Amino acid sequence: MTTEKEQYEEDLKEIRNRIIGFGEASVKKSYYPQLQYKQGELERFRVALDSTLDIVFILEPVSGHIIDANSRAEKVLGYTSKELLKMTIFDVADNDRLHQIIAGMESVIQTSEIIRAQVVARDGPTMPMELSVSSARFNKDRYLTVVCRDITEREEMEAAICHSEFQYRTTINTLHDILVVIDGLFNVIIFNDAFETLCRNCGISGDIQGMNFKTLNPFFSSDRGPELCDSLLLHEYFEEDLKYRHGGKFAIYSLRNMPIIENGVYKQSVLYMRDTTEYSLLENMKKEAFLQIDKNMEQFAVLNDHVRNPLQIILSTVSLESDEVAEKIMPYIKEIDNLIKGLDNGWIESEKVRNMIARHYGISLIDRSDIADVINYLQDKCKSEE
Amino acid sequence: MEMVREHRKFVVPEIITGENARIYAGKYASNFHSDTVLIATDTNAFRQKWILEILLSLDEAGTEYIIFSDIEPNPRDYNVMAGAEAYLSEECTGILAIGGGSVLDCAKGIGIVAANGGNILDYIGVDLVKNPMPPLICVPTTAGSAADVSQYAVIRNAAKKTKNLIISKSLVPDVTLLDTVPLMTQPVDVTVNSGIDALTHGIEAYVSNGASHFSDLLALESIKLSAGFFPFSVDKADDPDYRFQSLMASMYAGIAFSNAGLGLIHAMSHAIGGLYDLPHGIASSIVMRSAIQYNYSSSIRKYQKIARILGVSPDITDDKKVVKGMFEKIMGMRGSIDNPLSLSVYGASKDDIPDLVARSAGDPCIATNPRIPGQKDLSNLFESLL
Ligand SMILES: [Fe+2]
Repeated sequence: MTTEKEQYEEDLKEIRNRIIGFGEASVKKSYYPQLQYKQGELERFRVALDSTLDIVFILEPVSGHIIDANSRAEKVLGYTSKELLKMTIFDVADNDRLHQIIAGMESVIQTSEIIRAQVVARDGPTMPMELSVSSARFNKDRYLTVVCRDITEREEMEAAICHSEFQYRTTINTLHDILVVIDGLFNVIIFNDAFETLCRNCGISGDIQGMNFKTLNPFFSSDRGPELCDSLLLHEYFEEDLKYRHGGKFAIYSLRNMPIIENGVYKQSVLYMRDTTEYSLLENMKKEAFLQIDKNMEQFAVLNDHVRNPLQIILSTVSLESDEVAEKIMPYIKEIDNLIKGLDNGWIESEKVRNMIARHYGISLIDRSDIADVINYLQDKCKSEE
Repeated sequence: MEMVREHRKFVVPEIITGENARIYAGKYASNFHSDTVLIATDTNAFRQKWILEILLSLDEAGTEYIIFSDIEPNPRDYNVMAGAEAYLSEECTGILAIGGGSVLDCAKGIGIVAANGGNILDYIGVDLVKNPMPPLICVPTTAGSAADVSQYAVIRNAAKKTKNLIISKSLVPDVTLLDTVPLMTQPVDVTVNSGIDALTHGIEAYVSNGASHFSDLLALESIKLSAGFFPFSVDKADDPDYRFQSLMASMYAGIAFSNAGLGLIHAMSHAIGGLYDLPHGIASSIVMRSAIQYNYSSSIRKYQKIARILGVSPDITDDKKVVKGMFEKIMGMRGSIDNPLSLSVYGASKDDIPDLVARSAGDPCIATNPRIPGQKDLSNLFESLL
């Protein structure tokens, strides 16, 4: 084991060794290793610069003279590097904005701008490119770098997206029904013309995009109550009839909510609203007609009884008075009785129909309040037409 | 003369000597491609007339410059950091140091931080500077520290009140312009204390355990020169021959100690200089006698040689008398300068001794002392100074 003193002396030996110049890093101040390292770094950077898919130019400010260009520039534009160094950036991209930027950059400390321009290759073909122009200072000089990225493919994609968006817009706008996509906070994300028409009819001005669907609350009601949106569970599928009232207009909409769930998380709702006013009116008119018939039939049954009772009295009175007369009247009474029986049978037959209709319309024959709106509407309409 | 066959290395800067050698500053700055140099100096030096020729030479070379003169005696770590910040923010590419040891040391510190980053205190120690610092041109205005030719820099840690050494071959300046003119304007005490410093450099390099044939040649020559022109008298202040000799003595001693290492005088001097913020020459004078006495037995032949050069009679052979004679000769060289050489005068007490012992035991200079003192030895040595 070394003592503290021995360790100290050992350490001093090492320090002495380094003082007299035999330490690890000890050489006379030499810039060469650093120069080599920097050179290597520079070469690596150059390789990276040359292998990039973008064209890179270094320019003199104001004149736009090309001082340096990467090998991609030679490959894409078809010029040799010697030729490029005799050219200005405007020989390959004669763009008005580019002229302005390069002329103005002398005075600006540090800036960059991205523009789109057509870049012309040696033999004349042009390519749409995105030019990122920036100013850099090196020592006391200022340079401009221009990185040109071919955006042919991007433009094609953008066009394709534009086209497909146009198609889907056209499709949803041809729908007579309302289609609107909202997020969990009821903000409108996508909508068709029918929805816009509804909103404008409600007197809503301004942007529909981003509008809150709840803005429509005052115009709709449902069986759930007046605050319609508050009771909607957007993350569940449902269908619901809504009543629309605004400025003397009345309509019935069938609302269908189709939630979009991604990875188990609710994202958006597609709301589909169809105007079912006419259909509802027709159905209700049928219902009303049926009720009227029902009422008539009931009265008829009572009438049957009313007829049968005096007939019974007539028959018994006549049989007491004279058999001859009774014999003469009897066939007529029988005929009347048969007619009434027939009517009774018909009643029984119609009872089946009644029940069937009642079941179909889901109405009670006594309670007719659910068609009150329709009836009122019709009455109003009749009055106004008078 | 002893021939050492153990490995030795020699690192020296480019050296230009002679009257008005300072006018080469511009040429060297230009050769180093330093477009903007940081002039590290002190306000006193910068007020002198002779500085104009330096600035003119820079102008002629087309080199711009910024002045950094916020350098205290015994340069502080924060002086270095402020200088490095100025260097980097002004995008300098070289340093021109014009001043005494403090300025030169601070300039080295600035160079280290500029090239390596971090804090100057990170580089305290031996052979820890990895990247070569920027080109450093020195115009020393004192003949003593020899920081313009050495691999040493002393930086004061302001918080810990310690003097710390940075030793690295990459701290050897690129060029030093040894000009007599700037020396003419220095005060008498500076001249004397610098001269004593140079003499201790010669002595310590000569007896160092890292000494070589080459360093011995220079060390002896420097002691010889110092003995020849001291004691200093004011009427010699403007004598170019005198100033030139002092420059040569300082340079020889500097090259000798830079390559061979220093010893106990400096290890103890740094400890007390740090604790009481004393000028280096005074601190060295205080410790010199005790240190030489302690070392004497380990290198009798070399010390006797020094004694003869200093003028101690060859008839005196008793070791103690030789040391006494040597010390008296050195004190005689101080001439009219009579700073008290007792540590108590500067506020030291017995309580400080453990701290002083720890400081000097950890000083790299101890590693090249001919004899490695233990804690007890150091304690006794400091006690003798009170
Ligand atoms: Fe020194």
